[in-house]
Amino acid sequence: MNTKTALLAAALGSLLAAGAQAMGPDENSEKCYGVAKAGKNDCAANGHGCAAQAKQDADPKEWISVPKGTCEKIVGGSLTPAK
Amino acid sequence: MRTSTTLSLAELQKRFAAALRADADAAVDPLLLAQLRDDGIAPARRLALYRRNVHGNFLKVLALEFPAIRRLGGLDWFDHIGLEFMREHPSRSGDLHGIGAPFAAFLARRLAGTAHAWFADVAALEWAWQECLVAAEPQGSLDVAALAGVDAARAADLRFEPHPALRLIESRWPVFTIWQANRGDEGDGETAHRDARIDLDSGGEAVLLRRCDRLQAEARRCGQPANVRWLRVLVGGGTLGEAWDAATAVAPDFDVARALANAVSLGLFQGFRGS
Repeated sequence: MNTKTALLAAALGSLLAAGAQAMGPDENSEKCYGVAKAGKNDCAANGHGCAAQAKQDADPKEWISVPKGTCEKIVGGSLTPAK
Repeated sequence: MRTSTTLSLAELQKRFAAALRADADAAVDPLLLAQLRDDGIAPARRLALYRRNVHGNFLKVLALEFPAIRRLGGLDWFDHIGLEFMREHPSRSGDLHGIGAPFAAFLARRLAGTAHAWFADVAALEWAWQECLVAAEPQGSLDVAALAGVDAARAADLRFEPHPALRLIESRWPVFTIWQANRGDEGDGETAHRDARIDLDSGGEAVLLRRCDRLQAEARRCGQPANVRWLRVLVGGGTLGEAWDAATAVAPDFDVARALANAVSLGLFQGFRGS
């Protein structure tokens, strides 16, 4: 086994030891609806492609990401989109 | 019934589309005008309203996708170049989000040899950012235990599957610094640049863009040339061995174990294949 193979194999082997973990979904934030300022929404919703395309303030169908547990403390905030 | 020449549907649509893309002060196609109704609003005015909406929507989406370019070039220039771009690359879909895809290449051609050639790389970065925001969710997450258990002799042949929302942009200009200074949201483009002066010749930058989770994307500058080469191969779907070759060619002491652990913990890969 040459040096390159040995180094690569060692790098792979050390992944577990190093505690490297593939990223999963973020557990620490939640989607909060109804509180985004126009143009400041976080991502796709409401018939438009993506972030920053909400057309009015506090649209109940637009969301931003906030730390978990925060949304319900905000006036107008909701964890679900309006119908 | 009208007495004017009747156009085939295909011909009518073609002329209509051409009229919508035309300059506001371009002469209007008389054959098309003859087909438009005239009750209350004159045909030419009807067409002008429609055209203004089409131009306005196109420019609005382009501005959302390329805020830094708009700020750098100024509103008038951006609208002008945006319509020129629209004529070359009209939207092919009902979803306007895709219109920005050829913009960086368009600017590269349009601005080649000028003092603003670097706009193209900033646009490429902005588009990569847009792509990361809307790219598909990964099909799974990397099985680290399986990876660590790969037969050592075949380690060099491993090929990672990049996360769908992963892009690497390399430029000979400091694009990351420029982008960061100009992507601001005060954004009407006419405000004075907030940035301190950026020296265009201060060296190239490579930027790694990824979506950290379902909600947010992140861009970071990749410092070391060896690291950039390493990522270029892996993001491009090359093998682990090829990535190692590329990195060690410029930095013989490249720490592959650390680089690999970093890449995995950043979530750059959604899986791997043995060969």
